[in-house]
Amino acid sequence: MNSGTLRTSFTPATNRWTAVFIWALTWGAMLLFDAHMDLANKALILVLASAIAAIWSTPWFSVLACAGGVQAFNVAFVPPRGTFSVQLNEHLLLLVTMLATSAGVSLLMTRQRQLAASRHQALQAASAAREAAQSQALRNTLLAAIAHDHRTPLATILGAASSLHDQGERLSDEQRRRLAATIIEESSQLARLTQNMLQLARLDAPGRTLHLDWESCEELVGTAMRRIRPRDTAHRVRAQVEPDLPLLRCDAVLLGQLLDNLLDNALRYATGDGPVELQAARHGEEIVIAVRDRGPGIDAALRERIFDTFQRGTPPAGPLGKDAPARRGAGVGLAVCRAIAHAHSGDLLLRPRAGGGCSFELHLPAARSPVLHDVPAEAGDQERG
Amino acid sequence: MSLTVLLVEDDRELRQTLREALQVEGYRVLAAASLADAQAQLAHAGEREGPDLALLDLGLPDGEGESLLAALRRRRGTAVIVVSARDTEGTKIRLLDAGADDYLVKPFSLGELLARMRAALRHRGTVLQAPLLHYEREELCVDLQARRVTLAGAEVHLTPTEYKLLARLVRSAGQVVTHRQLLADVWGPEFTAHTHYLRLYMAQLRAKLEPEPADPRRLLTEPGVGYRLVEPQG
Repeated sequence: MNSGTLRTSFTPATNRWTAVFIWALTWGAMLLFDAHMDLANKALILVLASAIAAIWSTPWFSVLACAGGVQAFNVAFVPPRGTFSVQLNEHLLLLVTMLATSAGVSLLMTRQRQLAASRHQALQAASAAREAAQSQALRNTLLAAIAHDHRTPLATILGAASSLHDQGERLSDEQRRRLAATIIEESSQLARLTQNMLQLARLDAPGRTLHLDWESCEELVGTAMRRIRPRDTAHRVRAQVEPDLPLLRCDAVLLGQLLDNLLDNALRYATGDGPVELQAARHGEEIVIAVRDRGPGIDAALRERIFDTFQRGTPPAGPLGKDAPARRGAGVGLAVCRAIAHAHSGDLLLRPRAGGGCSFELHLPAARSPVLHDVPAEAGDQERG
Repeated sequence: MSLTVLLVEDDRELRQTLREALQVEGYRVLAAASLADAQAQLAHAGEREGPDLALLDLGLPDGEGESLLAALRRRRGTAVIVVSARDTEGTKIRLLDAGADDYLVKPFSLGELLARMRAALRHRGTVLQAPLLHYEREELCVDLQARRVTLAGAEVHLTPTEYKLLARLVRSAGQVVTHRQLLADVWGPEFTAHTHYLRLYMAQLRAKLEPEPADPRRLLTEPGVGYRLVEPQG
């Protein structure tokens, strides 16, 4: 209820019970020390009580409490005790003083509360404006980065296509085919990029819907293998699925996209002929699907930041660096992967490997699958012709 | 005698590109830019000259394509391939269950399109091609009449349910069959939500028929939609 330290103003919210407590305390004290206090002192205490109680009271409540208090004082302490003798003159000063003090304090407190409320509103408005400005800045950063990520493949496509268009007849069949292949490859890359961004936007939006179903790890891996095959001309990717894994309750399309991103990254960044392993295994209460490579790995400093949107790993240094592919595309990909993992109440972790390389691991909780209890008996199923 | 394709696609560049590519492949193409346009073309073509296959884009400005689908099926059982952007699994599945033969996701390559078209046309059992009773590809051989499955010459023993599942995929070889269709045809209409049965039995089929079950070449999974047995050879 208090709105801050002594430096800021003391502005408690109205609280009837605190006021009542103060009144009760006062009356209790007056009754207790009746014999030791004369009437004048009691009156002063009453006025003090009315002022303090007003801090927690609305103006009307203070007025009522004062009026009631004076009457009670009259009955309890003013002789003849126990009777309600209306002696307006004697008590007028007391009543007026109490009312004035208490109403004054109460009105001051009300104004104080209003000021505090409007200051609070102003602070909130400022904070909201700041957030809006920040998200606008983020949006602009994202747009700029998106434009950047699109520009390179588009430039390549435009170059190849205009070459085909302008120089077509002068090119050999082989050259034409190669240009066309480049257009296909870069367009596919753009398609993946677009899909990743759409997915990121969708996953961030409130009320996102996952299409959950029981899925087999073996199938998730198999589909990923099939999807990466055209890009894995050197057959580097190998699948390893632990037998008897429980079914996963997940969105197969999203996990497919996650695995495709990880495999595509592995093939691009872990250059050379090193193997890329796609493994699915059970670790206690979790299913772990991992993409492991023997590439240059990722610096410890970058390991956590790499999942932030638009971070890119550094290209490998040294002799390999010259042949390293231009940095691109991984920026949105890993952020989407992590968003997908989180959407499944799981996580995506990056672990370095002893011996070099990266291990990107998707950890998902292993739900209790319905398989064992549910499948109907096979023996002599009615032949359906 | 060439086959007729009804191409319903609202994007002008894509429609043009596809139409030319299909014509190069020998198809006769009726191009429409909207559902209304497509319906007009169908009405104009008349009963005899209706298309053999329709490529139906889902993102049309004037509707979802279901009404056209029904009209096409009523006619001569025109094969229908639904074309969609990603993440429209719900609509895709709905149309597949409503009778569309297959689907393609944009962006797609011409090779993929032609392969799906061939499979859909074969499945429709047009006068040009009898429906599939014998499946053969690489070393896998499935004879639906003799109820025999052989792999590299050696007979493969399948349980009755496994066989039923494989047979259903063979009958639509090259085309996707949705989870719902598989469950309904193999286990019965009460089981259309029991996807976990499919996972279990497909795993068993892969174990028996795929050299590498985790990297299948024949029994393919279409994530979120269903399964597909690769096109037979020849």
